Amino acid sequence: MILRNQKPAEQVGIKLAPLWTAGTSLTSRALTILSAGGFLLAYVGLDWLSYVNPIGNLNITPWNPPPALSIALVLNVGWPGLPLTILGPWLSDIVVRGADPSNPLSICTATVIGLGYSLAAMAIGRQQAARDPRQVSSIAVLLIISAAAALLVGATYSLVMVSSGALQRDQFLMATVTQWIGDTNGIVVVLPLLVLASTPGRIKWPRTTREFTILLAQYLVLAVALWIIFSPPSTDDFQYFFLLFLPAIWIPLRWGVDMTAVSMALLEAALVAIMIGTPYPPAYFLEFQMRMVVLTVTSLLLAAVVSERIRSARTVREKDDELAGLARLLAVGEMTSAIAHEINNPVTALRNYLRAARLMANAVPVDGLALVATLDRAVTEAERTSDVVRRLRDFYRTGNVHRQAFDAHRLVSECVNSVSDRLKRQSVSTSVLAPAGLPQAWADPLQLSIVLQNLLSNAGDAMTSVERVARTISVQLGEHDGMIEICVCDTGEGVVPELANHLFEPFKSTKAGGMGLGLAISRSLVEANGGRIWLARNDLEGVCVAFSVPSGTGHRGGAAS
Amino acid sequence: MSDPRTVFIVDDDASVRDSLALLLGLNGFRTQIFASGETLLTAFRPDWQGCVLLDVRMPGVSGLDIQQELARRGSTLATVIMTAHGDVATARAAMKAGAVDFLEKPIDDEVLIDVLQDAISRQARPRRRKAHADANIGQRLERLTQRERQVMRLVARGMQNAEIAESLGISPRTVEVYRSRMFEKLGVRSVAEVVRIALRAFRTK
Repeated sequence: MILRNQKPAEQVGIKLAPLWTAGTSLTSRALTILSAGGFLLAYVGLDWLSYVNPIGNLNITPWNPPPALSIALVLNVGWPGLPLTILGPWLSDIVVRGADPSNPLSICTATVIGLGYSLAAMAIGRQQAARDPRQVSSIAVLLIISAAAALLVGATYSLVMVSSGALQRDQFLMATVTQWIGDTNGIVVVLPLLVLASTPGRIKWPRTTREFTILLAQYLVLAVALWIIFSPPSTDDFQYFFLLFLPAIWIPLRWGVDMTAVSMALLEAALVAIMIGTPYPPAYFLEFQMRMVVLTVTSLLLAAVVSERIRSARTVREKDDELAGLARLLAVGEMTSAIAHEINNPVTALRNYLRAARLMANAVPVDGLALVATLDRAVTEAERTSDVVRRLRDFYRTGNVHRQAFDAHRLVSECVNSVSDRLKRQSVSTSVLAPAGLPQAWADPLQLSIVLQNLLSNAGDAMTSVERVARTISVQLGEHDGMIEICVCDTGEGVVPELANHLFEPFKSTKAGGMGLGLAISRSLVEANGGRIWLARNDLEGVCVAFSVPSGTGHRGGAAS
Repeated sequence: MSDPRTVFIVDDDASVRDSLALLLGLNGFRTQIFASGETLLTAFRPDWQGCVLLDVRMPGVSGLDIQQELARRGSTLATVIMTAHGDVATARAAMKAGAVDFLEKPIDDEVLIDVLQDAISRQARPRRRKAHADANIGQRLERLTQRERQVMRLVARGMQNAEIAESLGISPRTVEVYRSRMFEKLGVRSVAEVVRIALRAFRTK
């Protein structure tokens, strides 16, 4: 049942084609062979690079990353990867340490290593959490299982060595610990990177200049810390090691798991380079690596916490957006019934005119002029109906914010003009006031025109029941703190104080038959455009409702929406 | 003294007013139009006869207030209410305040003319017609099952199918079935008619 389990491969997303599967095409077989070759090359190469300060002439070094490759391979392709994980260490022994290919000891230890880490990979793959390493539980699973596997492999390997006579009996403990630390360190540093690279999102690199600058500053601090730690070469304990914790905390806090994994790998590479270049005895290296394991684990766990936080913040934001969308949908539903209501009047009139026209056409003699006049009125009512429908369609189109730079003064004038006829019939006069040199607004003009229409019609309605000499709507534009402010004022009687506090909440209305949604919808539209809306004035002389939207100056070149 | 076949149209929508006046005029009614309840009340004379056709959803004084004010001033006019589609609550209130009937917008002109003729003639001899109508309704109501009667009461309160389903603990689909049977047995086509019948039926109990 060796081929039974292809699941881990599916879980982490297959990057390497499953090996030796039947019926594969020529190209995919070629790809498979290429991948396998790549794996072996990487394995031997990494081993060669990290073969420093070995114990005896054996593959027991204080930093040993190749096992991470084996774990990643089996995580990706499942059990079919096992032969390669055995082949890797065996080839390494021959190439890096000049072992005799026929030496059964080499084959034996390679089997121990391959089997041990394949088992670890299968154990990790079983964990649901391992799918995405950007969370604490999956980092913990990776680290704990890897460390356990490293201990098992280290102890077995050393036991084989001792029993074969390659190591002294009293070297067993030292060899086990060294291999354990070395393998664990190698895995801890490299495995998160490999797993990240095989997740659907891949590694998230810094993108903007600002992000690169921050990363550069962090690496500068790292370099300074390393320089302080190693500058007095005679120091026998690394008393300034703690300095590394500063960048090792700063980096995860800023980036989460992705760049932390990258940075820790780079730091490890730098350390190995320094260790090779300086005359430290191997024992120091081991001690240093123990500290490095702790440092790396700390950084990664912290990074995982940060990644989780980033993700949950995003989830909350998405949920918020979803809720806002839902609220809008609800508002659309209410709006629809309100508009259906508005359609009733023109449809009633249309029907009446047509019935009347029918009666006129049947009369003897037919009064042609009256008939034509009646039909004309019917046409007008049909147009009124389609106007309502058009407005409804406009409302539906407001689902997304399409921001652009535009002249707010012009938009306001257009909106005022479009309702001025209706307002004139209610004997309301209008005025628009804007300062010269007003910057462009950065928002969705369609949505803002809906807000404006709404405020204008509210202002108009507010004055219908008032016996006033001057029924006036004045709209003033201005700029304040990089925002365009638009203020719509009427000369009505104001709103009652109890309502004023809840003016922008849904279903609050003073109008007979009002849905109480206009201002609530206006608020959500204004806020979706990055502005706010408020009651600027409310007294017996009238009401001013003001809203703001970002001006174009602050957002030039910024991304839309 | 006005012609007993006068319809006093009160609607804030100019087109609705104008078209109603035109159509009713062609059907032999005399009409007077008012843009608001206030203007009607200002012009009102107690010796007016006929019927007020009143839109209840207008800015300013509400249709109900106008009804009450007319009654206070000793009006003998019959009142027919025009409401928005599904505005059952207002319709109920209007009927309770003494409106003889109500119509849902958009208005079916044939129904309108029937209702207005009925209202005007009822003004002349209200008792006989009403008694006849009640007996008729009583017969129809007796044919309803317990559940259909429950559904009818809730429909008349303006509840939607989903709400009715929830309050009776049955599925909306089942409500749909009861509802359509109830409509059929009562011989009605609109919620408005159900409300009308319910108001008359349950008023007596």
